[in-house]
Amino acid sequence: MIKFERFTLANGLKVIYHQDNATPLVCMNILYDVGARDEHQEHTGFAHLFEHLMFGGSVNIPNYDEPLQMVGGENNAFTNNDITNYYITLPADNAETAFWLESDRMLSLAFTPKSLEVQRQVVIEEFKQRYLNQPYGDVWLLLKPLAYKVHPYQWNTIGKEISHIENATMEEVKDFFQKFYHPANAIMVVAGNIELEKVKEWSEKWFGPIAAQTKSQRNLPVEPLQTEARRLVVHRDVPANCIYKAWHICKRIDKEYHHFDLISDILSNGKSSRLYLSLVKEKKLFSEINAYVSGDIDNGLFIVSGKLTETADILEAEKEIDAAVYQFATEKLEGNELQKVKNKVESVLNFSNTNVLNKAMNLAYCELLGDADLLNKEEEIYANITAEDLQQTAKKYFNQNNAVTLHYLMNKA
Amino acid sequence: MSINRLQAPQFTTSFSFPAIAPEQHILPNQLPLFVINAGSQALCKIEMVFNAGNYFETGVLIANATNSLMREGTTSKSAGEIAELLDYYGAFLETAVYKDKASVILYSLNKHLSKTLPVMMDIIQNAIFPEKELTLYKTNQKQKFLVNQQKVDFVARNHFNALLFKDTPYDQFAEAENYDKLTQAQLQSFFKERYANHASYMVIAGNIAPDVLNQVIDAAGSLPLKTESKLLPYVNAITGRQELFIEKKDAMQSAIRIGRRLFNKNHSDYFGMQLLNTILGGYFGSRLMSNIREDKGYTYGIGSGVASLLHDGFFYISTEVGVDVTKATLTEIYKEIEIVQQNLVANEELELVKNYLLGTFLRSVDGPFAMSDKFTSIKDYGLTNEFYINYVNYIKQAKAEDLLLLAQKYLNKNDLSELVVGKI
Repeated sequence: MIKFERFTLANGLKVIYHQDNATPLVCMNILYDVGARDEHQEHTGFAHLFEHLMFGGSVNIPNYDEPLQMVGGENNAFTNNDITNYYITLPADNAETAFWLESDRMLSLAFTPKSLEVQRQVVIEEFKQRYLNQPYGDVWLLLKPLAYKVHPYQWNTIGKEISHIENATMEEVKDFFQKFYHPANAIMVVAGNIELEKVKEWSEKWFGPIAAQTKSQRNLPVEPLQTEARRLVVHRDVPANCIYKAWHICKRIDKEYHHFDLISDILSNGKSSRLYLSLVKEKKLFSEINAYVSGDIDNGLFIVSGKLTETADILEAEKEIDAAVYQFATEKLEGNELQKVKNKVESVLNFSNTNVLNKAMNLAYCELLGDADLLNKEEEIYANITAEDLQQTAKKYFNQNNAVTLHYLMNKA
Repeated sequence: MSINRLQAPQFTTSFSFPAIAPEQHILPNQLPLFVINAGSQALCKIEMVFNAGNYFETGVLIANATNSLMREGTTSKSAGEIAELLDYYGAFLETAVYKDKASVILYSLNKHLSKTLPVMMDIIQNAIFPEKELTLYKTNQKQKFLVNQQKVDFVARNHFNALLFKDTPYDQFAEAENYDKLTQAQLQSFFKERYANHASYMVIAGNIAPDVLNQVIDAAGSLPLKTESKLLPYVNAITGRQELFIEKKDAMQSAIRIGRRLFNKNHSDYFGMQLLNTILGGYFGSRLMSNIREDKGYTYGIGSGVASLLHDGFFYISTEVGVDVTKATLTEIYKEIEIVQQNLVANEELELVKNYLLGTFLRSVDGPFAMSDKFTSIKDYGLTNEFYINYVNYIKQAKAEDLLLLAQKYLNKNDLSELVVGKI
């Protein structure tokens, strides 16, 4: 049970507080409700580029990192489809520094041209390092536009193409800040060895004076129901054939999300999982295979991906994936498999709560989903899922017309 | 209330660090058991350490394959039964091989320990390495290797290691055909010599209630144990500067490694080199990051490190940069090295890095699992918590003059080897 307190400043900033006196640290996690899905389709990669610019100095503090390092702190951030999340851990005695630094960049950035020029280059190198100069690095650049035709999930967080990053202007940077970086669009979690009174005092002191702004309403195009199977075959200079197969599923907050999560565990979590036993060990069609849910806030994907062994036939391999997935619709789960994956979930949740930064991030994300207390309810939600639930959900979503398939093949010699 | 946002809040650097001094038990079979009892969640991490690193292998990959395949069948349980038991009780079994040692680590909820711990004990004592599991391993790991072989960073890491440690037991790395050559007999013999009856010590960390401790003592204390451990001699054949370029025609980025052989944690200059390294490339605000990423935008990241081995050690700088700026990056790296050899680090920068390192140390001892890592990383070198006390004291009092001397002593270009994988 992760106990927490919650309060909201007059300007709309939500603050969540969790005390953990076993750690000598304090974590501050600030989640901004903006991600790659909020980008314009001709200016993709912007939310992530913007995350880099958040470290380029704020209106009163020319360098963000140095004052934090000076007090023994460390920070980082990540951007995904849905959110941009910034976090600091620092010695508890120096916690006020985090309030000072984060409030100043919520107030306003320095917007220096040099920062934009350099971070643009850094992000282009990141694009190359992670997506272009790696075997299979462009898989998601191919798969997402195949799965989404209308919804902004069709592009990756890094952006559709390098030119979008090259073309970003300072005007756009300022507009983006105006629209998304303000108190009502943020959730702040302060967790660790600190008293509630201090958190209230410093939140008021540093964040209270930031002007209130109305949270803009999101109006994203809804992805129409897919009615026909989609397939793409590409050839690349890689040492093994690969298959990615994805089915459109529900939103993160829908109850079916947890069903898919358990189905993916039954299929591929651990060496006793179905796909590992049947397709890796017994039939030797795959050298590795995984099933997972994307976990997006809007309608997400259930994905099975694997690397084929040298001798495996790609169509046969795909048939086996289909059979394993569709079996959840045709057959109700028997035996102790369901209990096994529930036990695993319980264990994972417990281990994840040993770390104060994890707790802070999870509280912020659950609050964005609607209620920070979801974090405490997850274990029970999973425990109550039945074999019937899994079958019903599988029946509803698992069919070929709802599937997207990518065959990523070796160049022929 | 009007506030001055130009003024940073007050801060302190007198942190109180917990001692890394686990409670020690000597079990009836003489196995040392170290206990770190902290944390509120009813779970634990149990690590058994063996002298079974790559250093001891009689052929490439033997240490890794033995370590990976221990869980794939014992005299009484099949690979499937082992996996099913661990998964059913939500446990995680990790195996790891390092240059010098190897580990088997169990993560378990306390309430399931009576089911999960016997599996771990069975594996470390009775593994049999079935032929069909080895065949599967060879095929699949070879494919993974071929994928990695396309990554400039992976190729650079392997070849740089070989460049620095030529003709020592640390210079080994695998080629594709090494996978084909592995045999069951090699693994069984390595297991018999290095794992079964040869545990070196054990660490448990987490919420260690008395019944948890008793279970561990009962299980581990009854393992048959031979105390002799065959340690091999080490030849320290220092090599001077070497350069190697491995071309990858279609590369968009080059991987760069620059570095040299150094020393390990037992050396009197170790703390100083840690501090100097941090300034040069060991944190986000380092000289190399500031220049090559934050000023020039040549890379997504550049870093450096001082790594310790039981018989040796090394310093390295590593990055991946656009092929068009590979040459320019090399120039800038050497320029930054010359600067630390010629100029004193300014007081403000030195203070910042010292404070940052003290904060980093505080983060690194937060929680029972972190503390157990901190413990094993000194235990292997025969060191105690005094090492960390000395470290903190060194950091607090170190002077710019000390660092200048270290840079002049250890970072001469003539002693630094250089490797580029990609295009120049």
